[in-house]
Amino acid sequence: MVQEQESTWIVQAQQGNPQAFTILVEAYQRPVYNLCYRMLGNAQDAEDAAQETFLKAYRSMHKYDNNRPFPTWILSIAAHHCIDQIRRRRLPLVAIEELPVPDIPEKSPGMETKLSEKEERSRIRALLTVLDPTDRALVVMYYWYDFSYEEIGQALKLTESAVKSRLHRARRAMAQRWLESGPAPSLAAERILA
Amino acid sequence: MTHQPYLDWSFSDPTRPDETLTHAERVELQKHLDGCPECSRISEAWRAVEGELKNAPLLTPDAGFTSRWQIHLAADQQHQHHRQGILISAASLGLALALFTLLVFLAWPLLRSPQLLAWTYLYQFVRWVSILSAVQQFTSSLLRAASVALPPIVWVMMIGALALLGGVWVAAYHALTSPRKISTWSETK
Repeated sequence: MVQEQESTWIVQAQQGNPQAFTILVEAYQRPVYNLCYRMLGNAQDAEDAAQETFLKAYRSMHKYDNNRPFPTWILSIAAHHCIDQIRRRRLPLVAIEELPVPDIPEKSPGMETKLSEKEERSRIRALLTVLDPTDRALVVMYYWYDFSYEEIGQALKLTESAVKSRLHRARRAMAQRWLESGPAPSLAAERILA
Repeated sequence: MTHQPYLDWSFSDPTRPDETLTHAERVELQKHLDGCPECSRISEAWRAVEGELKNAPLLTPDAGFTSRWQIHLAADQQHQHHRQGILISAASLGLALALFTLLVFLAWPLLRSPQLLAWTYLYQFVRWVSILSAVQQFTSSLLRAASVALPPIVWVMMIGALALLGGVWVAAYHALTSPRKISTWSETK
């Protein structure tokens, strides 16, 4: 039923109905934002990239092949946009250990949860920053969206064997990073880069 | 001793059917890890990383993402209109310049003698005036003949049809040139 509704919105959006596309934005904002955040590492860049992704998708709706799953298509646009952003900016990567440790404010209700969420984001970011942009997109699609090798290949324009070998290389690099930096990197990176 | 196949097996994802190890492979891997501290360390590190990745939630954007997107879209469409306007102006200017250049090129022999140019323009002017005068005479005689031949109701219908066509043209022009309004998500609900 939901699938049928989504197909209707997609067809209407392809016919130039901006309200139908707005419903798709509402439905897919979270996966697109999450991919952008995991790729770019901070909230502001992720917001901008997610907005730009939907704008690109809106402009390209006439090119969308209805036989292809919409999530794969929209996340492919987001991944390519983020890959371009990372390559264009060539953001200097600062080692987590080199960043200053901030003053931790006194504890308040809910603060522990927030801190633990920030630490989790910080740890994930530290792991993903060792990967090149395409591998980063591949890992996000594999672990957050459960995409198959074939879907990842379609989204990132790679062969299945390239996906497998890149995934293997990425896993190895992240394990190496974990061994080098320990399980709990400083929270400072999150604070400084956010 | 080669470690590569054991590392490959260590990185495999047991929840994915295409990566699941057979029982024999699992036993062999465990046997290798028990005797190889380096592979064991990497395997443990990977399991920790895998746990982090699998437990990480989907992050959510700040509230109002869709409304911000609609504002972004409206601004982008405005920008596109502006760009189209500039492009059309630039193209018109370019065309005018090209025509002017062509005219100068064609009239170049005349431009050398201004007297000849003046006579040519005067000749062209007189020619066009006489053509227009002939057209006007023809049209007025045609209308005079038609006013006698056609009944008044046909005139009324013709003028009505022309007014209707004019109205359709104005409406189509308005619909094609004005940006579409998008209602906000809260309005659609």
